[in-house]
Amino acid sequence: MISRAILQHEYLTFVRRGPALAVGALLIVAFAYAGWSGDRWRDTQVQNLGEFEAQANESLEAFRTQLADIESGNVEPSPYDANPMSILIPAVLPPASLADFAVGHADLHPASAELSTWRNLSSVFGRYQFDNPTTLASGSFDVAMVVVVLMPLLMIAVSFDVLASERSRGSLAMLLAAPLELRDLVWTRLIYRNGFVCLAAALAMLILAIVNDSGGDRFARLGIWIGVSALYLVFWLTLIAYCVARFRAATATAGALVGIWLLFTLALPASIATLTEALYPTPSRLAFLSEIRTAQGDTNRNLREVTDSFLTDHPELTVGDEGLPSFYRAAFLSNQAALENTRPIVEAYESARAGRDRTLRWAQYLSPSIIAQRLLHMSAGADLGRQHRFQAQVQESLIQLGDAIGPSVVSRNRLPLAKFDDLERFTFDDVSARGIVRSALAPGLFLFAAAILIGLAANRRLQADADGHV
Amino acid sequence: MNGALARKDLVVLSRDKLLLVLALVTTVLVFASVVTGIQREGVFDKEKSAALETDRSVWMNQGDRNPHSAAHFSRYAFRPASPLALLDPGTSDFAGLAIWMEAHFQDPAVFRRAEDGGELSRYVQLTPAFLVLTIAPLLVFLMLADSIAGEREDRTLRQLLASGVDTRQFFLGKLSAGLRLTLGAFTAVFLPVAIVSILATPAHFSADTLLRVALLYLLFASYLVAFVAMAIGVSAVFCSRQSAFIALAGVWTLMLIVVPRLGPDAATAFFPQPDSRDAAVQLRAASDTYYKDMDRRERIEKEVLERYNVSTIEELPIDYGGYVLQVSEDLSEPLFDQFYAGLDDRYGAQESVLRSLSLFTPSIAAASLSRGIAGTDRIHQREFAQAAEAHRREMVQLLNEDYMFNAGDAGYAYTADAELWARFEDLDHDTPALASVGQAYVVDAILMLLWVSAALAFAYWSVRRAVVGEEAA
Repeated sequence: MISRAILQHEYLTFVRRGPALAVGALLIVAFAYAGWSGDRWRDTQVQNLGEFEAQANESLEAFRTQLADIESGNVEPSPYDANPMSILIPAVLPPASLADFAVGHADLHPASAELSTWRNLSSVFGRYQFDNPTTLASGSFDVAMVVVVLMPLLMIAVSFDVLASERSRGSLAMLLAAPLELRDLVWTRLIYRNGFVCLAAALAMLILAIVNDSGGDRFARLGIWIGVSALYLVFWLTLIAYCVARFRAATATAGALVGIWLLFTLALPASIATLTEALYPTPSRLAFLSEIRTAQGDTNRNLREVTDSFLTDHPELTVGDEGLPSFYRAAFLSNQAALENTRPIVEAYESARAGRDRTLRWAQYLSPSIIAQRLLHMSAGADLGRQHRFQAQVQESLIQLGDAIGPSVVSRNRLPLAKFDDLERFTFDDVSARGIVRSALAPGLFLFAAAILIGLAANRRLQADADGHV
Repeated sequence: MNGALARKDLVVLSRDKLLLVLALVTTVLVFASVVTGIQREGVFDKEKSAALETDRSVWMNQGDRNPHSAAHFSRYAFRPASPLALLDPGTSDFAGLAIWMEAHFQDPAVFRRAEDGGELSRYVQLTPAFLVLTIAPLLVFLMLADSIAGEREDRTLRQLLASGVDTRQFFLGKLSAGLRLTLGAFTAVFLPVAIVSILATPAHFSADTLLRVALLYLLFASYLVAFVAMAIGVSAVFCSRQSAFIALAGVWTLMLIVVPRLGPDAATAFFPQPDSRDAAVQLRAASDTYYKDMDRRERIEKEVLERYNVSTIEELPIDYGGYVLQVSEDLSEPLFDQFYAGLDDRYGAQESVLRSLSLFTPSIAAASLSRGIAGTDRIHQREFAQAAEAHRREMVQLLNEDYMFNAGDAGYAYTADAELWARFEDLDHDTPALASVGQAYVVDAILMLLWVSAALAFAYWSVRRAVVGEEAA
């Protein structure tokens, strides 16, 4: 009966007077904008990558036809025809099925590569740095940002004054004279108001997921997304309850909550990011470039010796058409040397990344926003790890391609058709939804446990407060 | 009278513990960001010097080689460090820091430092500019939310008015207290930070650096003035602290968190980012313009033969291979210019969309001015790219002409040595003087002035309205 009265009061003061409508409208606009922007970004990616892949595959097919014609003796080839150096295998990082929900790091890193022995690690991704640095630096307004940054603020805005009017009017004691627990009053109001906000958000996300559906494991990823969002928002709900119980004045409650929000969503992530990058600096990209240049310079200068050494290591090879210009061989060998020379730097990169990842896996527990942001990005395939996995797989494939066609290039022979057909095409090996769940388990449980503990502490404070009034 | 009012407010504000803690934490974060910035920029400076040294050494020690083969290997140009990147790294981490000056191609700048950032690096960056432009306004709002709403809620405004305080005195008193505290705290933090930044990069110190520091101070100070005025204005609109607080929190969220993030998506929706594959194809086409046009090739050959009054290429006193290499460069250059000018126009159009959101927040114009003054924006990056391209053209021409005039009968077998390589110098480009690029920031400066004026006018109007309301009641 009392609960019903509270709900009725909430309906009159919260829904009918407009705050709920204002918050609802703001949420709808925010999600619609984020969804539109994410969908547009994903569609552009899919189109560009598709065109690149189709074009490269067409060239590969033409190469195969030429090679087959030469092998069958149908044509008299020039030294340049079906040269193994002309093989270019496309490698693409397709946007994940929930990519429209978060852009994350995906707009900064390359999403395609040209696997070719003309390339080394510094050039395999092509010239891709054409984006405007100003827009790139500003970041994107995506669904992840709405959930991690905006939603807690909206929850604070609708909740910080749940007891304020009674306290300021001094009518709380009178209210508690009725058969009503203070904690029931607070929780009912909080759940009513935030339930409205969270349900509106969940509905908006569900609609976006259906409207922008792109198939694949989208709904499995969406399940993880919703689960993580729910845990994160429940955490904030309990934190708000605690602050409502802890502070008497509404402005003090709001001030404390905004301060905590600032700490969790801005100050701690920024400080932790700075700290991990300072603790585990990546090797200099310029040093990487210098190594490549040195290796290329050395190979060009000593091309004859390097070639002889390669041929000595492969006694099974017989040298083919000497009419082919030496720069084919030089390019291949200098890129191989560059791969070899930069191996320690690449390993140092991997070590720095592993160190940062390790630190962040622990440091994330300092801020629920970091946990939520990491897990949401993982669900949407917008995390940095996915970009690094793509880059590592491209690197691996480039080495394999060099191993497969290198002997033909150095000995100036064509690749046999059977070997060409055996060349592996690139397919990105992504983490499954189950893998994401495994990564999300510990931080998710932590959020849940933290929410329970803070909720219990809020309850205890509310009980003490009620006892004080009685 | 307004002095007494301001003093009273200063005493009350300085007793706010929550505010004090937040201000202290922000100050610590500012100094922490400066320390990490010094370390970061120091490392970058060393890396750049080492890379330049290696590049020069590899170039000089490449041995005897055909000049065109050397032009393909070529050299790299490295972006100069901006002396004030410590205060505002701006977009510098999102723009490439090295340009390959190879033959036949005008390459974009590569190696963006942001790509080496960690998982959280795109979330938020801890820099002094971020703290001043985003966090400081929140502190101002928290500090001044009850400035006038509190007086109205406690009914002390009526007492003040009854004691003979008029609107102007009341407004100036409130404004003066807010400004004294805000600008005092800001100056106390900014001055040591600026001095440390200058001392940390003594090699870059110049009169231009001093001018830039002074302008940054002016920019940040006027930005904070706008927020102090906004806080007082909003506080005067409401009769309760609670409502003023909610309104200001909402204003801060919209102005500094939401609107600045809406811009890039809208900008790229109207003017899409160039597709990198498509851009590469256009550059390739520009580079191949001579080689793919058989008619033009024949025409050029004929013209050269006529000019030297010979009938075959072999009779020419120059190496024809070297000649056409330079011709192909000359033909490609306007196409490269066209491509990059188009790209620049597109970036400019995107930034105009961003700028249009200045209608809702001063932070976009302030951020643009801040990175421009710090020398870490796209305009400074463009200056570097243009200098690198001019150098590339000069150097490739030097190599082609050596090949053309000295190859003789050797043709492609002709080789040059270190004497020629030594003439391909390092790129000599430093951060341009602010005056030379200042025109790019006029619109943003006007927008900032408009915001400050509008905020002050709003504050006065709002206070006057509150005073009239109280007097009527």
